[in-house]
Amino acid sequence: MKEKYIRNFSIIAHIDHGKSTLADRLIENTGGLSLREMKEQVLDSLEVERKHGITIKAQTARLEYTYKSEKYYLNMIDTPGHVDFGYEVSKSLKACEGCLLVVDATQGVEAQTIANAYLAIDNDLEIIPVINKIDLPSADIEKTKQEIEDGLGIDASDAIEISAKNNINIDKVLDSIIEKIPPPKGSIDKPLRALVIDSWYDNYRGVIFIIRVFDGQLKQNDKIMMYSTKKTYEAEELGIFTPKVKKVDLLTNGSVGYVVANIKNIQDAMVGDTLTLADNPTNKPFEGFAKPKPFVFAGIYPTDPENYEDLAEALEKLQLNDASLTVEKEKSDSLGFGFRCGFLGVLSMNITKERLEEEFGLDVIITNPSVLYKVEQTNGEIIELSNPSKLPPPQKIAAIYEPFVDIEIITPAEYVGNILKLLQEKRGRQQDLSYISQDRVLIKYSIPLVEIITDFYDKLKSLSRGYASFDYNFRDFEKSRLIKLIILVNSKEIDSFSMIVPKDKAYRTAREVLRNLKRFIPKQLFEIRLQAKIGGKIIAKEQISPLRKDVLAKCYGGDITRKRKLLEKQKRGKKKMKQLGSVEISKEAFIKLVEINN
Amino acid sequence: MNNKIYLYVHIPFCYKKCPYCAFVSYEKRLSSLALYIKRLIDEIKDFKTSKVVQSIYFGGGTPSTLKIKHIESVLNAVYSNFTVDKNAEITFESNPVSLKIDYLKGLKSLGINRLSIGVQSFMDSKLKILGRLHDSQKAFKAVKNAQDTGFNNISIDLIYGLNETEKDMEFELKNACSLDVQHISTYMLSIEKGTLFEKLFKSGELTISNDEDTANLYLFISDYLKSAGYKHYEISNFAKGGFESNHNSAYWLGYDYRGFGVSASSFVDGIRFKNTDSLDNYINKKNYVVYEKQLDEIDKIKEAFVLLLRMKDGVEIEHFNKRYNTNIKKLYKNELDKFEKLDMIKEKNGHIFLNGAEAMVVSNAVLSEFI
Repeated sequence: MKEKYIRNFSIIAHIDHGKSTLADRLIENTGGLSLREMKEQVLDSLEVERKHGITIKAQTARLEYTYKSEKYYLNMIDTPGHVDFGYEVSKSLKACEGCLLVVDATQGVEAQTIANAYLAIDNDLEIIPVINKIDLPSADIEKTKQEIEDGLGIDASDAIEISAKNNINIDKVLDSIIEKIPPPKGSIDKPLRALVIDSWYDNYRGVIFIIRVFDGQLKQNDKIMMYSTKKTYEAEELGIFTPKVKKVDLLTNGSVGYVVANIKNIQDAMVGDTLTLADNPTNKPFEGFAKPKPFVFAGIYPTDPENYEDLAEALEKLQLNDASLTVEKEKSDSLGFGFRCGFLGVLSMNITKERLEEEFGLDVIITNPSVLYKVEQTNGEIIELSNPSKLPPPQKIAAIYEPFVDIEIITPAEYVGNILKLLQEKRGRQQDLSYISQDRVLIKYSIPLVEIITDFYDKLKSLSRGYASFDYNFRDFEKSRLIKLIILVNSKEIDSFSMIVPKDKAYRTAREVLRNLKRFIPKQLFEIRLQAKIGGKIIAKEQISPLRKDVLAKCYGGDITRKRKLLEKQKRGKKKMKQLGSVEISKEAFIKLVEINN
Repeated sequence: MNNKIYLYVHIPFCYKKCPYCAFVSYEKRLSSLALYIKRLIDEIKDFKTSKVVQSIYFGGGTPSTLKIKHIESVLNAVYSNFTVDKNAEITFESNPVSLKIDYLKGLKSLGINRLSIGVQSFMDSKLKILGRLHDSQKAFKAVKNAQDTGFNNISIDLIYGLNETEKDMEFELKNACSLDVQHISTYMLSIEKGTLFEKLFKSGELTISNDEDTANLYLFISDYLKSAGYKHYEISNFAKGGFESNHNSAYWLGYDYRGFGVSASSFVDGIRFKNTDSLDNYINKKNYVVYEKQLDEIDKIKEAFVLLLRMKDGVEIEHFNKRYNTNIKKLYKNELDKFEKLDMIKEKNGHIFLNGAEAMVVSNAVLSEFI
């Protein structure tokens, strides 16, 4: 296949701007799937993805399109759309020469539009602006073009105006991919040099990885070598996605396809690695991608301690497909044995939880999400921790550093006041504030990561009636005035409720936490004293009076079974209870507490 | 293992259904009464046992919807089909409005020796909310008629939990004690599924005492009746010495009992079964018995233990261990330790029991860990 007939491209967009719908149309219009086979949004393969309306693992499809009587092969490389998955976006873009930047004409440029466009610019891609949803009454095409030019510095004068949903101007998109995006460079005569752009573990086939060939060619049964490990394998099967799986004998320079090579360990086929031939290796490996670093941490525990082993196994399997997921054993007084896991963000955390529940049938509890702290001890040693209960005693701490992120928010101007107030409350520092169009503002702040990992998104949405969007990037660790807030139930410290809080907010947080505990801990046969402590000092108190009435006074003419069933139900409820010191609390209440406490 | 049996006869008819009551009973079906009695007698005759009957209990519904001749035919069936102990306790539940002298004389002549009268309250305003057909004067009169007819084992029911103050409760108990009855059952009002009260409660038209107040009333009642000479012998029951209800105690003590009629439950030779709640199915003999899953040994022990704990005297350890071939203190070591520490359960003189009214009022929280 000649390089000049190949185009490699991605679609990038803010969430819900129509990326997946456009992908569907491109497949449909090039005959990749018959109408009958065409499911809505075919590229989103995982159940969980469909539910969240987002694409998690990048996938590819080779589309065949005839332009001016010549047949072209367009490799579409799907990218995830959410802020948590910036890493996955960048690895997809590495495999392309150009991209379609989709902007919703009713929404305009949003935070992830900017973040993704910058990634594309960084990768020297040809960017084709595409304005979607032009047939909606609230579409404002001119304003959207203006925002693309002002906000991104991209010429939008010949942006393609489409409706992916109603199949308007999809052919123009296809033509422009061929006209504007350069064909792949490289030479088929050079030694094989291919980039691993995705890999996952399949229970039957072992590791499957997707490569983009940058030089040379790969034939079936070739002896391949992973550059970083120098391990060699036989390329048992090569293929492409159309998006249906189609085996091929050959992957030539410029093309994108999958390789199955009987690799059992995903660590041996890491994304970013260079694949080459064992007996004629390239001497120009790719730099590789930095391994994604988890930013958000939380404990995952089985609701029923007997499921610990199952949970361990499930997490191991999830790790095969999620290079960013980190897992470490952990023990909690109240929750027993579990794992401390690291995630790219809160969304990935929730997706992991759902996959554990849906794909593995496990019932799990996730503790307060937290971030990675660096603690400088008085002896000069620096330790890293994410579990607040692991914090050394105050007299041993010289300083605590917490991760800060640069956050970019785009909002209609009328909500700026509300949003600035929220950012101030969340300990943010303003970096910049500028107008990207007459009534839309780009706000840049640096802000502690921990402040945005739980309710920030919901608050931002409600303050702006859903119009504001945001994205963030890790900035640095900064010294903060943080202290450990300890929660005691009947004088016993409850480790899963400990938290690291800003000193200035400690009193307020303590009172709030205790109020919530009081609300959700059911009355017991004895009085419950709740206390919040920093250092050796109690800073807030509550109490829950004992249970007064819980009795079955009637007899129901000897219907003992009914009585027994009632007691059994009560007992079953108790079996699932979590122990907070001497106090028992239902799983549901526990989860609420964990959610609210942060 | 036991040669004794306790009989229950359910009369599922009422002139008017009480808005709080979830027991199985039918209004406006009195025309089926004669047929129902016929079926009851069939059921009694179909049941064969050599065990000696210790009690016969007519419950409802409203048993006093029956004519004397109906009761007579049922009792005849019992006497002709079983051996009945000559000291058997024969209880008849009734509505105060039914207890006219003639009716009472009829009951007496049939050998009925215990009356349970649904007084519920001595406050007319409360009786109205409860939807009762009688007022306090009728209640006084009914008890007096019964005593005049020669009944010397009378129980009255009281309900509380309708926002009574302690003064209100004192008024109720003072009146109850002034009647000089032998037995008093006091029931906490609870909102039952499918009742009118449930609807009114949900819509906010009805309010009831909160848990705190109800618990305080419970403790107040216990103290008051104890100082008036009644023994608090079961969670909801009080009796003068020797007048504890044999029949009701049989349920808690794990004795065999056989219930006849709609919705009646039975426990015979270790097997539990229950009749249908449907009057028509019962009358037409249509799938009317449901056998319950047999409990395994350990669950039987647990159930017996929990039921016994409802009684003041609780579990007699040695007797229990022998009867159920177990070691109850070993089986429940953790639970007993826990609740003894919390002062909910006590062990004394070879008995394990709930530690007084304070423990009884939260007994579900305790018992649910033993089941």
